[in-house]
Amino acid sequence: MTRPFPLTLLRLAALLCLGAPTAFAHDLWIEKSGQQFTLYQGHRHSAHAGAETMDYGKNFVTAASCFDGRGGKRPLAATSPAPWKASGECAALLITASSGYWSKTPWETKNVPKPQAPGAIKSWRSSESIKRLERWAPPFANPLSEGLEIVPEADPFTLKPGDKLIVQVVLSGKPQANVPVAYHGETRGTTDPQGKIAIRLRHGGLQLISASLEQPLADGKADVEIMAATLQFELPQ
Amino acid sequence: MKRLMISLLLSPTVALAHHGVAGVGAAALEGPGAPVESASSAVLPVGKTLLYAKLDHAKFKTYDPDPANPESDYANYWMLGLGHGFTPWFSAYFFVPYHVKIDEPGGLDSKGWADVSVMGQIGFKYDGGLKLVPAHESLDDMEDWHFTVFFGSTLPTGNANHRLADGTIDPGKAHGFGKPALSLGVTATKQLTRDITFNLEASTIRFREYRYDDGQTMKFGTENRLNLGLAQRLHSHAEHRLRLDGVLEAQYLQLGRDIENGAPAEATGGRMLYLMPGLRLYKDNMSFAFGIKKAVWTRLNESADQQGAEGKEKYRLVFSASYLF
Repeated sequence: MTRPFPLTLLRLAALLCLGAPTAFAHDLWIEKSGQQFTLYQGHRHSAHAGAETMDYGKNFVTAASCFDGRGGKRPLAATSPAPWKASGECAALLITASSGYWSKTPWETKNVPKPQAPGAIKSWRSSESIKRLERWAPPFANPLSEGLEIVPEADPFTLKPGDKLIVQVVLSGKPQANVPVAYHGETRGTTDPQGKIAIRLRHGGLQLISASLEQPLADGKADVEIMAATLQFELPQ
Repeated sequence: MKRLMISLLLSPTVALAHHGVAGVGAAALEGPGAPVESASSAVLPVGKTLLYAKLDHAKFKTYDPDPANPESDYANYWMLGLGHGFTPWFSAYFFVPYHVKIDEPGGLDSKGWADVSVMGQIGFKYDGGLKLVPAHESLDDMEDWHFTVFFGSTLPTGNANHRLADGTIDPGKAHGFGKPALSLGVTATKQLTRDITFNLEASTIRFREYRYDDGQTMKFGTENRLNLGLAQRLHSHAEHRLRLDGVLEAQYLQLGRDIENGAPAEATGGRMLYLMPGLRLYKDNMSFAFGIKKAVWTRLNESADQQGAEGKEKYRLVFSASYLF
């Protein structure tokens, strides 16, 4: 006699195979000392290898905004361009940045628009943003910008390691489905039709949740725009 | 999109790394593992179909060297299956078995298509409360406890009155049970760490009495199972979409005594514990599993007379292949 029901079921459904793990090129994060914020780029907090910090150039940051607990917004002037530094009292800080246009030819990849790279096989414009939450306020459950942004569904500061945080990925305030989301450089899945995904916080201290989205570009300078957004906050160690 | 994210291709590529792109890249093959033979708590992604094939080869211990007394040599239990995810939390399956039961030379062999079976499976998870499996889960969601309840029945499509070469009917070698056999079970699965998954299955199969053409009646004993499993990811290669898991299963089986012609049948039933080490390989949307099963503890009712029964195998080899599309 053998059981008439073979019940071993394929667990492929539970697997992610999203490409290459090295595709997450680098992280952005903001460090705070007193009232001074400093923007860094690199791999210090990443799951993957790479230089701890990288030089991003003095034209990298395109805008910085400081938000108070009521959602009020004011520009934040830089005191240094590279690394970007600014001082202020912010409940949340949002920085947008871009390294400009890139074109890949069979021989090299150059930081120029497509028309300046004969034989380009792929070109893109890079846009990035990072939002650092200093404390929770109800307005932060909504987008603070028109760009690609990661919005926590609830106060993340009440969580502890092991808890899950539901975030929503939005662009122009609209939920974005099927967007890959990473925790410290490790992709944990893609957003659902409401743009939401649950991310488990694995440790105390600095938290970095990132998402990226590629969209066609019609400015004649590149094929696509690759947007990346990071949500940063800190929990007790 | 549910759990099958195999086909996702993210826009950033390796070639773009460190060239102004901070795009979120990829995870390697992640998520919970699965046992080789036991039921797991995975439901099929909604709209997806599963093709399944399995071979369970049982080689029996033999005790009587006299050629005049041929004993059971081996059995091959083939199974073909088709499953479909109708909702994120409900899957249904259809299985077609083919059985080969071979005696030593001079014995009475039996080969044929057996009773088909249908099965339904409902998936749950615990995430701040018990809920049906949602349509979309992240890898972190998949780490939660997951459960299924499954239920099914065989359909009497096989020839229960199959006559052997000597013209007799042996219910144990028939191609069907004559009447539907009902199955009910539960599973629980938890990804303990990134690489290790725990799995539990508790299930029962109940048979009904059937009167054969030769007048004999048989009600096979109830089969109760409690299976525990651990799967550990040994290797994964994202670019090749390949993952290899090592699996260890402990399977406790309790067989009730058969009721033959209204009376308890001698030399039937008992309890046993199998251990089964194995491997499960995932490649793209396919999965292949292999395990070697051996009884490490038995308490059969009349052990000396139960040659060819469960618990009396030299070993069992289990192969399975699945394809999801």
